[in-house]
Amino acid sequence: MRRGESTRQRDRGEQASEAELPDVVTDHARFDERSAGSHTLERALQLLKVFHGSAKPLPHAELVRRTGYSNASVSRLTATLVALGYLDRAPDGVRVQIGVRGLRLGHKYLANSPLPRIARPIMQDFADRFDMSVGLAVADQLDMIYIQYCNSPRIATLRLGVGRAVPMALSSIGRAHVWSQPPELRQRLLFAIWKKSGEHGPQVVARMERAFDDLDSHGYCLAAGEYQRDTFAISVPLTLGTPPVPLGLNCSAVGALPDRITIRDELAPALKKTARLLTLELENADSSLF
Amino acid sequence: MKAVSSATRKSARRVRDVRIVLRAPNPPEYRDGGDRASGKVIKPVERGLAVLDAFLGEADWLANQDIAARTDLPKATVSRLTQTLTALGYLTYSETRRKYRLAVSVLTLGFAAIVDTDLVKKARPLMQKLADDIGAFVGLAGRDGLDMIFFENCHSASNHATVGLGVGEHLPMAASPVGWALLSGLHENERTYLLDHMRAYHKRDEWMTVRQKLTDAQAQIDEKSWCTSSGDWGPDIIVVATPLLLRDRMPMVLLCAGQSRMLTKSRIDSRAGPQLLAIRAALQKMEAAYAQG
Repeated sequence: MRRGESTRQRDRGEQASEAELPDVVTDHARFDERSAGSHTLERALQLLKVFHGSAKPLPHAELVRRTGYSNASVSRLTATLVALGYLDRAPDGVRVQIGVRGLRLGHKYLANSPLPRIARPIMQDFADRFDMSVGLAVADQLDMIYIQYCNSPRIATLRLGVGRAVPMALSSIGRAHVWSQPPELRQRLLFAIWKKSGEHGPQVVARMERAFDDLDSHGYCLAAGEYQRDTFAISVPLTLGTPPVPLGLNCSAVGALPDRITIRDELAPALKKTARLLTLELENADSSLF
Repeated sequence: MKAVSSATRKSARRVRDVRIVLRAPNPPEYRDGGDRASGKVIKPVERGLAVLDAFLGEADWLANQDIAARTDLPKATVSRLTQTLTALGYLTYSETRRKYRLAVSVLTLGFAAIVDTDLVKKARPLMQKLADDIGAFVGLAGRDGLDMIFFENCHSASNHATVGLGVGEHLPMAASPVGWALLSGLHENERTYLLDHMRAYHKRDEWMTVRQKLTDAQAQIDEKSWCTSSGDWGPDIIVVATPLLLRDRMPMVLLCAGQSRMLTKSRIDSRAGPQLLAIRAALQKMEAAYAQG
């Protein structure tokens, strides 16, 4: 797929359904009386999410486009989030950017969770040995959020770090995660992704199913140049802690995809070994603390 | 990743427009300004975020009544909000403890966007001291798409004339010594990747010039760890830049810039250059100490 296509398709998907989050995934059905108040709160939180963890200031029109909310409600939400410090006006006074308030909550979450701390040395070892980036991500609705990300010190281009989100449908780490789910949940996720991708639904899901074939036969899947051009990633699913929590682990780098033999005989086995080490290391960790 | 989107291109100003000005540009203060005063704050949003804020204290686990006590909200409101926030993935509930705790979605509130602010905090006093010492502007920049973005700018207290650049401003990477310093610090694959994307925005002759300047900058950095350029920003501005590579951080650039009379060759070689390297070393040491602890 060409880059322009994938971007357009992702954006259209967002427009179509981010106004109402896909219920299938978030378990909203559990509480029936969703008051207007919690709906507004949800929309405000969604407005922060469409920044995709980037520091880049966005103009009003772009926020309207990404959220699918009305002009007036984006204005009201923006004003509120600026007043509360979750957004800042950019130096030009017009565009807005992510404020520092959310950073503190992220820090607090990461400081509490034993997972990133324990996983780090194991992941860094892989990053150093292969001069690649290594990421560990959990599912968040239809995205995967990185909770740990280790680089070899000179890598800049894959500017994904801790806290960044990638779409489940378009990333190998997301596909590995969906594949590892029990059949019923897998179907629900695929359905939600289909719905969200609009007219590209069949294509997106077909690509995911191709990745599932690879996972069935080899235990890992690849993405090359789909989410970001000239890059590739190899992903495996894994579960950590007690009771087990499903996550995805990937390694990625810039450049041409290495040949099949290198992937099959070196990178994939090393990545699987890293996953096993993580599983062992966290075997007895209480996953309610993750 | 919209690493190379067209929107990124628009945000950058032209490097030649960077001028010496007499007063440092400061972004206007909006934070607690008009937005709150005009009563536009949406109550349910304010309350929901107040519930999240309650978790910033010492305790990791909070029950509804703890949150109610910290936020001054009625308990019924709090329990409705904690339910919503749990369903959305911002909180997690432990049956055994009967308490809530922050969950992974809080990372989407902006953690990734400003994770480097703690580094800026460490660097600021060192940078300000250098700015005051040499009477020039000192900045810290990183990459945003094909632009360089300024994270921190220190204007000299000893010299009123400074460079008219504010925090958060973008300059195209290809056209600026700051970008060349960054590119020189990168892994070869990364550099090629970025250069390939930049080339599309240049005419052929222009591109040859850019490549030439990049090669020059690289040679200087190989030799003495910093590169100097004059006239690439506005007239009469000298820029001295050095790549700052720290483990687990995005690659960055430390730079100083000022009028040619403040940054003469001898002053650069004896003071500005070595002191930039000293800041770099200090930050590397702090980071290493942090990683140990």
